[in-house]
Amino acid sequence: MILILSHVANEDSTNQVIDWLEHKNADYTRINGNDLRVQKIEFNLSDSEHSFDVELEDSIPDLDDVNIVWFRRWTWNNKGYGPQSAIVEELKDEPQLSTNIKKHLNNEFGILSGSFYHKLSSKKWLSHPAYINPNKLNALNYARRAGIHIPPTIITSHKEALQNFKDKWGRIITKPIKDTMAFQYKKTSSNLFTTEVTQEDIDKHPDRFYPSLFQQLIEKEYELRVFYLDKKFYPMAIFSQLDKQTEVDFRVYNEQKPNRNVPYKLPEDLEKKLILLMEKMRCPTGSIDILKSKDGRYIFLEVNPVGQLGMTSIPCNYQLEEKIADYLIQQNNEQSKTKKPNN
Amino acid sequence: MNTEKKFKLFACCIPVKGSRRSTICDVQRSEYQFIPNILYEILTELKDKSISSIKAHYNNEHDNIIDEYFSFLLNNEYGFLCDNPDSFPDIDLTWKVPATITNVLIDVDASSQHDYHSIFQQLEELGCKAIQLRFYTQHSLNEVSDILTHIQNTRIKSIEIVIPYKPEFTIESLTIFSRKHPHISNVIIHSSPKEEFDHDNYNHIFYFIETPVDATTHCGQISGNHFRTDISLFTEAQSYNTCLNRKISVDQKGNIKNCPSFPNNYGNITDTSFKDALKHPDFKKLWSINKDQIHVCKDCEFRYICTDCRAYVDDPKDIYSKPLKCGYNPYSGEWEAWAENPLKQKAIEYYQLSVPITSNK
Repeated sequence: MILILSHVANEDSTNQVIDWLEHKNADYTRINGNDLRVQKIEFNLSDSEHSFDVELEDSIPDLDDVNIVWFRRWTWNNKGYGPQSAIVEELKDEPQLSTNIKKHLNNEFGILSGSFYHKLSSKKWLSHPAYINPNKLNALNYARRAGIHIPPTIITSHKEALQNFKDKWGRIITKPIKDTMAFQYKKTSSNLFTTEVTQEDIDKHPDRFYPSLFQQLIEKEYELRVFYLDKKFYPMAIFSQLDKQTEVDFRVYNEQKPNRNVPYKLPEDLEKKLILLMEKMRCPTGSIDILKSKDGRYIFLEVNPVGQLGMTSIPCNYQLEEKIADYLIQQNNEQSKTKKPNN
Repeated sequence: MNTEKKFKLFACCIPVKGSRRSTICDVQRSEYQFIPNILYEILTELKDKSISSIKAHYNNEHDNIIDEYFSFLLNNEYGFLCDNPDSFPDIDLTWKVPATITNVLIDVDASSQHDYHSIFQQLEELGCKAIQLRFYTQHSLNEVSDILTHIQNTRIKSIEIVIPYKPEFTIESLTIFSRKHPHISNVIIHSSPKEEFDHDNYNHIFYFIETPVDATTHCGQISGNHFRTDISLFTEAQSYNTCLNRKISVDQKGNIKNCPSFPNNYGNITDTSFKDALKHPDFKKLWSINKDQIHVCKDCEFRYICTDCRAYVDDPKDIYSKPLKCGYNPYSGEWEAWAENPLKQKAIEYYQLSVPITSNK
């Protein structure tokens, strides 16, 4: 059986892969994160026993039958806390207590989820949750060691180092060390996109500041968003430099006139290096961001192991949803042939 | 412009040759652009040459025009200059969907006795995502609501309702109705006292049109307004019929058909399942008649962004003849009123079409 671990909200990609699994009559079960909260579950552990049963609305999946787990985000939806939502609701005038309770419930859920994954640890995974939030700095370092170009990068908390960095590399940018985040303030919302840091910006800064990441601004010919699955590449070129609005960060989408997105072919030696990188990061799938610089180099930026599929699949007609379904079906068949007795 | 470089069309801007002129179909930005056939030739047959060798190919007699062409294409972002065109492969135009049936048309009148529960359960099994319910007689929103309750808990994603006007149909009542049924994409109210167009805040679109839709003979209009320049239609049109492919229809009497406008049926829903109807060797025959096989259409620059009609054709005895209700002539590049075309009168009589005074241009 194919087991899909996902969540309820905004998961078009998951639903589309499931449409293919249905169409191909595959044996699959989907469990959403929220099911662990709202459905009947039973985790038994004793000297002689280790079992985890989840009773879904229409079935009780036998986890021993699972051959491959597709991990596709796993959160509870924010609509409620299952049977506990009434308590949280009742305490809405006690923000501190209610925050504590939510935090406690979330922590409990985290450990419970961990033990659920552990129960499935002998299975093959398409992206194990332990590796879906890679440290981006480590990723840069792995890429460098695999022989892939990376942007010169500095994280510093003092102005002098920043100034030296800029003097050495010319134009520079800053972006979050981890992920971009939306900040809501008085009904406005702004995102931490990649932004150029000018000499003026540096001059305005105090001598010490919160440790921040800076990189050389590399003039690009285009950007590449590469979907990767099982050693195969589905690259898309994004012509973001044609538009001032998207020049530094294509995620500042121009809805009226979207960036040109077209299929691309990576050079073979780069593919070989990227396979090494993805194996090192234990990512059997993911979306890889690369810059093609004006001077002709491919420069690795980051990997997102659970990226959006539609963004690449639709414009390039790559049918990635079917490719994932086929991979899951193939793994399900292969693993069931070589199945070892479960303990 | 560096003329030693090669010009590469973005893969989403696909040139399509017509008899008199060609188009570039921009399937990403959903637009098309007319280009002269000579530019089509440059963009296809000479695509591997640098701009300077293209100019040389025409003996450097048309350098100015060629420069103009490429400036136009670059300024409008149809392509770019590069040294490595092989890094930019074409889009694979294979059309694929995870469904046996992608869309269904259900006709309803006052006498219809459809078992909606069974219909929608069967459609769910076939993977169907889009439904059109077409009412010929007056029905209240409550009656329509009762039908739509059978769609809950299916994967059906989009519902279009075509229904005759009743005074109770206001933007307010339609908004409440559509919120109850989130899969509704649009509601077309025909036989309306006035033309109106509105939408609510949840992406439901309401059209009020004066023209009555009282018979299947209204279907099959081909018009530039129906062109859709997108990757899903463009790819489907490469190999399949852009109206009938993976479509199933139920007429008001419950007969299962390719389209309600056809006289022949494949059984009635009271005694035949969709699956069994699909097994009939003829049912899928029309699915693969693409525009490249249809007379006249195969020479048309719109052929991959256009709808089709196989129920009303120029020559009722030839299933490969041009849609009757198309007034476009790709050999002259001009639109005319199809119903006034003397060559179409026989077919109009044959189908007993009552033709509107001003047929669609």
